[in-house]
Amino acid sequence: MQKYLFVFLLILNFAIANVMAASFRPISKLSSGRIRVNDYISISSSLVDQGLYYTAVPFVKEYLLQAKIINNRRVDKVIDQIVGHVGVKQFELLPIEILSKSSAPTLQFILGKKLFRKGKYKRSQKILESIGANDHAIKPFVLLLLGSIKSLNKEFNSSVSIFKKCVELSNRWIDKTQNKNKKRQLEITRDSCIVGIPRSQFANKKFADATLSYLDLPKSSHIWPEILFEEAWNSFYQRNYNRTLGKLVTYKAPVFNYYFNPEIDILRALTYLELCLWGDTKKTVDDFYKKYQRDSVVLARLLNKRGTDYKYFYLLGKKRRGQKVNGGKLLNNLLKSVIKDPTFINLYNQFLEGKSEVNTLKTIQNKRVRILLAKNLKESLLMQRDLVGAYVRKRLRVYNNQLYRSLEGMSYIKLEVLSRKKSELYHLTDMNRSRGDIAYLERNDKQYFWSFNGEFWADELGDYVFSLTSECR
Amino acid sequence: MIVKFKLLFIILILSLFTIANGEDRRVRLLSLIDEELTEVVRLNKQVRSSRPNLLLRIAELYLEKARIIKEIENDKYLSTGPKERRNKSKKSFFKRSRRYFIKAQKTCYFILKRFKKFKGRSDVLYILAFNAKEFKKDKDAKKYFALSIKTSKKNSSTRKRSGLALAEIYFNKKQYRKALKLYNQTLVSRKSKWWTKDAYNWAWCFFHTGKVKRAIKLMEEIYQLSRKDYYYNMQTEVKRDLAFFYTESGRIKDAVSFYKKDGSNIAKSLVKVGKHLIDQGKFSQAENILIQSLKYTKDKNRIIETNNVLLNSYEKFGKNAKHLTTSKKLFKFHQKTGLNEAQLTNLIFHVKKMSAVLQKQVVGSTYIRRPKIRKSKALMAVDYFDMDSKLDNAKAHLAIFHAAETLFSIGHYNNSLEKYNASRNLSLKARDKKIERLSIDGMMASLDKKGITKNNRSKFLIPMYQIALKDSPGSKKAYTIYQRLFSTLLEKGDIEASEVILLKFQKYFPKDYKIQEAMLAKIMYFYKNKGNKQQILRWIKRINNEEFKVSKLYANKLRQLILTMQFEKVEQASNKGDKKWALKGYVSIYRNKASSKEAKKNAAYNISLLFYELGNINFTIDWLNRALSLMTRSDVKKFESTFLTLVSDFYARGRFKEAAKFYKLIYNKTCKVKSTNKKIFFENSITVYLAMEKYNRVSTLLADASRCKISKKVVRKSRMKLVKELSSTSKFSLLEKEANQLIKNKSLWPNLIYPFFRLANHYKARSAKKSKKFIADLKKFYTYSVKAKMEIPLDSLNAYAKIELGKLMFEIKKIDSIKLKFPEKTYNATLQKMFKQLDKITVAATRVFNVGSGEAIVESYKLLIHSYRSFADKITSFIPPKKSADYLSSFKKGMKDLVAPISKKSIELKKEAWGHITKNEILSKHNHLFNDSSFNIEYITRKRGILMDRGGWK
Repeated sequence: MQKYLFVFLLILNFAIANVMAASFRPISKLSSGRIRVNDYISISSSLVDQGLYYTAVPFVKEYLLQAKIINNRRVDKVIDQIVGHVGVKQFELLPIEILSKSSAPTLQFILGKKLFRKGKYKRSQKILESIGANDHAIKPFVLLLLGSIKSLNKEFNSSVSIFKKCVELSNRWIDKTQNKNKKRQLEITRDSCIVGIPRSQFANKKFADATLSYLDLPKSSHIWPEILFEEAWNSFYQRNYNRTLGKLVTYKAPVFNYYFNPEIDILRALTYLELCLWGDTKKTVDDFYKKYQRDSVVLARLLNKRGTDYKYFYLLGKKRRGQKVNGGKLLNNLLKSVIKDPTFINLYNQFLEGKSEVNTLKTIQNKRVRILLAKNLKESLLMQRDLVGAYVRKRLRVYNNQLYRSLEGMSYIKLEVLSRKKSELYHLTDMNRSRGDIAYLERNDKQYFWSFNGEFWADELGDYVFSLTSECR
Repeated sequence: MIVKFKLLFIILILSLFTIANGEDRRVRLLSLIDEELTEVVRLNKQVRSSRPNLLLRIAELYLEKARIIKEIENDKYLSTGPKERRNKSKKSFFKRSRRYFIKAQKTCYFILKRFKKFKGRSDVLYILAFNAKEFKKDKDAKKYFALSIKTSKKNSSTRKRSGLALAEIYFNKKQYRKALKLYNQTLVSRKSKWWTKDAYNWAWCFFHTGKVKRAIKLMEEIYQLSRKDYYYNMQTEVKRDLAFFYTESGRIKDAVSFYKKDGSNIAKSLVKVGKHLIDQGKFSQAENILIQSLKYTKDKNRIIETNNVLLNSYEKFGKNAKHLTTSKKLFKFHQKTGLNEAQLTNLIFHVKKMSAVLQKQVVGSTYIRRPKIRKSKALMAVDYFDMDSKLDNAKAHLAIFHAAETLFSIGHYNNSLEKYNASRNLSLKARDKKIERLSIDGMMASLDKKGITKNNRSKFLIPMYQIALKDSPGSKKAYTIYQRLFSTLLEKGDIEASEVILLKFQKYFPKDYKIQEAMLAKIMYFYKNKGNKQQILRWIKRINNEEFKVSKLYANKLRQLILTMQFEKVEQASNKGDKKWALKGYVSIYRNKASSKEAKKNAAYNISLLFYELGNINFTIDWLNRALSLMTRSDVKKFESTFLTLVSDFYARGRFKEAAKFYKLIYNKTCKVKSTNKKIFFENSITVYLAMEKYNRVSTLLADASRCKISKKVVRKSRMKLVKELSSTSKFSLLEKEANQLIKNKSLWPNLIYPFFRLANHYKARSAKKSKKFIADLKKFYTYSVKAKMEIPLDSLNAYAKIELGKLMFEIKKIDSIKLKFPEKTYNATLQKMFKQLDKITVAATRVFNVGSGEAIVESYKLLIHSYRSFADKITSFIPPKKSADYLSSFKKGMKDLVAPISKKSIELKKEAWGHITKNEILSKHNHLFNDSSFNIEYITRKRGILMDRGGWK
């Protein structure tokens, strides 16, 4: 940062003789050679006014770095404007001390989130609670985080009420917001808060309540596919194994073929195991190994080879948006899953938006200023590109770890099956079983029974129920 | 995800199940285990062997697989035919399972080495222990089980399992106290369904450690719990062992009440226990219980069954006496009421088996040195045979025959005779000719033994023999029977019948000369005892007519017999001292034309001895001469010591000629035989011939000595004697011949100096060359002898000294020939030459002294003194011609000074010589020359010395 600043000032000294366009007047303050910290905000503000958010990011960061105390509404406003546009990711990398300097709600949210990630829930909660204004667009996000903290702290009632409030506020802000990206972000936040309620109930072992609460999430939600898995777990805990299997079978619908979560298979195998359906369990395990074992090695090798080459991962994600990439079915599926991820979509769209600032810069007639600001923009965009790449890499790594753990888990499940089969042999159990019986179904008033015949109907998704009889003695 | 490992438990119970379709089950199990192994190995690879839990699981699976494979292998091994099993090593059957046991073991070692703080160490150790147990390494198994217990948590299943396994090892090793301690720790809780099974061993531990009450209480508890479905059912075992515990602790009533309570048949249950104890080898306890069980039943069948069990156990544990008693008891039962078929079969089996076993023991070598045991076994066998003869009528004759044989083997011949007779009669009925014949043989064998009563003998003997001979007069058995019958008849004094048997024997066994000869001998002996010469001569005549062929030895014996009969009376007279009568008798035998050469020889010898005893040497010599002329070499050898005494006496009496003749004669006769006195005869012959100066005969004897195997040493010694004798004679050619034969032996060289000196002197005038050669040889002999520090005889010393003296004399001659002359220069030169010569003389004399011959020493002193004196005289008496008086006076004075020490030396030499003579007692004819006394005697000997005897010179 210091380096860029030096270059920037150097160029300014040369450019000072040329009088800038009126719209870039605040920059003339720098030509005096005595640059004050607050000048960065002025410059940033001017850039924001011109719609150059990404170009302004380095100035804001420099300001945050140099300013001792920031207690200025104007400054907060500028920062909120920039963060609201470029996203929190650009600022998440700043150290806690720097973030702590600002009282801007967006930066406070980023700080709270950072502390939350570090497991410092109390401090995080304190900071998040200090963001009082309900009329700020960041509030739904703050509430989602707060609700999560409460849930983690086993303050389930409180968390449920926060989530409910979050839903309410989100809806309000969705109605207000025109920006497509922002709208989607708010929708995701709202939906997350909706499932936050059953999650708290689940954590509070109120599985039945959770079952009903989960059904409040519309199937059209961006996050609905992943919540289906949680519902399956919830059923599992209620020993409603047929319901679990029904939820899980939804993932086999072609519409979800992009969705990757190896734990789905784990849960399926576990459910069969609980039903003492050794054959089904074993088949699930074997299919899993068949499906993933070889490709998982390729994936691990790729991740090891590319390390932190974010550009590569960015390009990988970018390419997958259009076509298949080399590296096998698994990698392509995973990348598909990543690019369908709202976070990725947000980051990527932000990057594209940033790129559009180039055109604005081209209109600047002062060549020196244009070049100077273009470099500034480039820095921000490169950062954004790396953030996209890092996100792709992170997701792939998460999937890889999930796969690794799942393969191990599957092995243990298989071993358990073999062990139980062996035990039966030693005890001479005669296994005479029949499978599938409708009598074993349990339903609530929000669920309907559909006989599953191997076809998927969009409106039936998530509502399938199996009717297998337990073969346990 | 937590997957609980229940494998160890499964392994433990694995062996306890027997499943009908075991093979199928095992295959399915193996396939499952293989799947598990693949999965765990995959997992383990994934985590790069970093989780000991997984490794432990692998080890457990290997162990499980090994055990199942071993079950399969074991089935295969048991189903393999014995032939194939023998040809293969047992290891090869269990190769596959062994591989997996080892794999499990290696994995465990790896875990222990790599994960030292692994919480599941006790499980790992448990596997190692189990493996060690499998490999029958009990020591290791014990060690690992103990470690497993030590490292496991209190009340953990591993601790319990290890404790039980270790307790079981101790239990099997009969270390009940140690096992008990572990059982006490591990079996407190009754939760396990296997508790009844483990507690069963626990109860036995109590029992073995003397805590019978605790054992009974525990067994009762096991019995109660076994009734519940949950527990492993041990009712059968407990029921059985509990009865044993009760009986062992003397609580029969409790046992009875236990069975009553249980509703079981007491006697039956006790018998069951008894049978089980027998199977376990606990005979005395079993016997006790079985006998007790008899008290609780009056059921005939039960009693018989119990006795049958007893019978089996007595047989199994070698309680023969009890077996016999029980057999007799059952036999009585059978006679009274009859046993059923199975019972009878069992009894017959036992009776037959025991009779056979006992008979084998009696006949075998085991008890030969323990006659009492052997006898008791035989008598028991006879009892069994008696029972057998009644139980199995069809083979009664055979059983009785065996009884007879058994009795015979222990020397009960009278009894065996009776039994043989009985078996013969039964065989006749059974028409078993073989046993009949064998019985007859047995009877005859029995009859042949000592200790057969007269009654039995007179009752059975001759009729039996006659039966036997009638049937087969030329058979092998007849061969023996003839001999026995012959002896029997002869014993009875029935010589005519005996002669008939001999003739029959000769008829059927014409070529068996040995037996015929023996029979003849007995007949001859019979007649000899009777003094019946006529009959003897009749038989001798038949022998001479070759009606009977006899061996040479026996022919000699017969001759001896006749001779003995001939000499008998004469010898008796001689022994009584009636020598005259004896002489007459011997002379008449000698002169009798009918007398054999042997008789004549003996007679002549005895006559010579009688004359010797009577002191008549001439007649002794005469008859000895006759006897020797008739005697063979072996005869001479037989009497050689007597001959030696006689001939030595002849020699002593001066009968050299006769002595020499006999020595040579006897020597010649003993020449080719081994004789202790042969050497003496040889040496004596030589001594006598030398005394008689018959040197040529001596030489001939020596030349012939090797033929008679006289040792070389003796021959050498004798030849040396001859050479010595010859040295003093003029028989130089013989001396040269004999002496030359001795040169090879260096030990004789000192003795050969003188003979060679004699030969050198002899050849001096005839052949200087030969003479020189002898001189050279004798010098060699002398030098060697001195060097080897051998003792040199005096004559040899003298001889050698004479040679040295010759040299001395040669030097003296040289000085004597020197004459003094003037002028002065010549005189001085001559004088110098004389001094030099005197020196040489002195040196030569010293050489003579060194030889050590007394005579030569004296001689050389004489010559030395002479030389010194003549030297002095020569100088003193010389007067230079044509010289002035002054000159002469001065010359004389000068010469006097010169001569004085020489004269003095000659006087000293004289004294020195006398000193030597007196000190060494030298006898020399020149001694007088050195003695200054007025009475000088010259010692003179006769030319050849004197042969002295007790009478002195006559």
